[in-house]
Amino acid sequence: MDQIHTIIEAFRQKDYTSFDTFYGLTKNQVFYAIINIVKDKDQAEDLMQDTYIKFLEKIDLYKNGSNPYAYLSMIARNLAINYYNREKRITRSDELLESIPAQVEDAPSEDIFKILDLLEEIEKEVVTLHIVNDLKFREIAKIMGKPLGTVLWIYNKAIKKLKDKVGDVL
Amino acid sequence: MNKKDLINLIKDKANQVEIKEQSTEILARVNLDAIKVEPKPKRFTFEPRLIFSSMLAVILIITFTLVLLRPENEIINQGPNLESMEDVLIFSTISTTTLLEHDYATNTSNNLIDVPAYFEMNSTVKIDRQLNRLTKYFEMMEQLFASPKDFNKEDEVGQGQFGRLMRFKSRDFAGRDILYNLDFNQTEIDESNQYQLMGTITVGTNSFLFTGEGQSDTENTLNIRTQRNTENFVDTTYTYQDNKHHFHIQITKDEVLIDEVVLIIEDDEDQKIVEITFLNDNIEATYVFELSVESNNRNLRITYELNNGTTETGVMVVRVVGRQGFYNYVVQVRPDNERPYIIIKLRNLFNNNR
Repeated sequence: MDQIHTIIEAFRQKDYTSFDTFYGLTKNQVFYAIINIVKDKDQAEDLMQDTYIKFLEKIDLYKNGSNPYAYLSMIARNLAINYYNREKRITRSDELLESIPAQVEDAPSEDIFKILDLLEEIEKEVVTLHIVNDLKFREIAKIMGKPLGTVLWIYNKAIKKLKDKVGDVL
Repeated sequence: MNKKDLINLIKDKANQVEIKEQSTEILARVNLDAIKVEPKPKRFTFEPRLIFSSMLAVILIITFTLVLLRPENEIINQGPNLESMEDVLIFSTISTTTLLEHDYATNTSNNLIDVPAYFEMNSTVKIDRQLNRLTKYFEMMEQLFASPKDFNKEDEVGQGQFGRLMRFKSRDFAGRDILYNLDFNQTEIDESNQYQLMGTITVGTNSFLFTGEGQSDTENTLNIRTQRNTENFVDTTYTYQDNKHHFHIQITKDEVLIDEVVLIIEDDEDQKIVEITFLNDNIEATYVFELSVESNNRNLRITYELNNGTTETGVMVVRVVGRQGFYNYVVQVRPDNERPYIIIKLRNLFNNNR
């Protein structure tokens, strides 16, 4: 964690020489905060760019000592939700989504998505933010705007579901 | 599986997903934004010309850096240049057969996949109502932007009733090769630079008759008719003007002219731009196609302008997506000053089954 804080301090001075390292350290967290919302890998990668730009633009709002992964995850998630809301003219309707034949879906095909697809949307987010993004439950509760107890309950339900079903998809 | 194993499995699988390296693009955007918004320090008293020169130098450096650091996957084949009349004949063949197949396929299949398009029909944007007729040109564009440089053409002496056999292949955005056989006779007309063509085109399991005539001197021209039968055919007239390839295309379906377009291809070594203008409609419609590459995948980027008293402009990005061998178009439409949306359009079923 010290390394990433040092890099962020440099960013405050407009020194971006270690940005490659910062991107390597954080890209998974940013990507997974987005992909569960927008579903499309290309779009997720576009939003990743926006996330980092916003992070750098608003670097002064980042509080020293706080968890940068949680902060980046929150920015990424908010941008993904904004994107989703802009695009909801076509995605808001579950009926419409269901009307699209399965063969035209462009869902990512990697194993992780097969696993996550066993879960409800909200379960996916909690599991991803905790296990992949390594965030604490209280951080997830803050990001998602839900009580800590609710987040814990969702997580435990999701884990139970995965333990039962993950063998079916891998 | 216990909880600890499950968590480790999820972490491992998450790490296996390849996430695109984008540091260079992000930093370029940060730097460009900085140039755009950074206020000029008051204590500096450079002459305006010097400031302009400095800005220009910075922009040139950034541009040069971006070119040097451009990921390899962006240096991508832009498709063949039409360097000879044979290439023109080949592209005419590809475009006419693709258009004929599209009309036949949409006649014989249900349009379930176009449901989202119907959903959008209440939209106030003009482009919504133009997309159905535009979609039929997407496959042709895929092949124009993705085929091998010289269509891998092989020319040999024919063995049947035709004196010449030309084999070539195109490629679509799904990475699939489409093989064509052109069996034909080329008859020179005495004392002129004109010639006549007659033969058959075989693509997959489909065959089409084609006839044509051309002229090869200072002005190369080629007229081709490709037909499924006498009621359903496509005529193309090729000319070369102002360093651009011009194709005038007319589609006749059940003896009715349903589409008339002018397609203009402008290409150099590293960029190809294709413009389509629809002629037989009460709306003036022009679409400019370019190749756009995302994560090593080819997409079509279309800038459009529609005019029927009021003008509407915008951009579309067409992605070919699918699974298990079936592909369709996901079209992201971004009208200027209107909300963007996405619709899914049917792709040629013949092509899917090839």
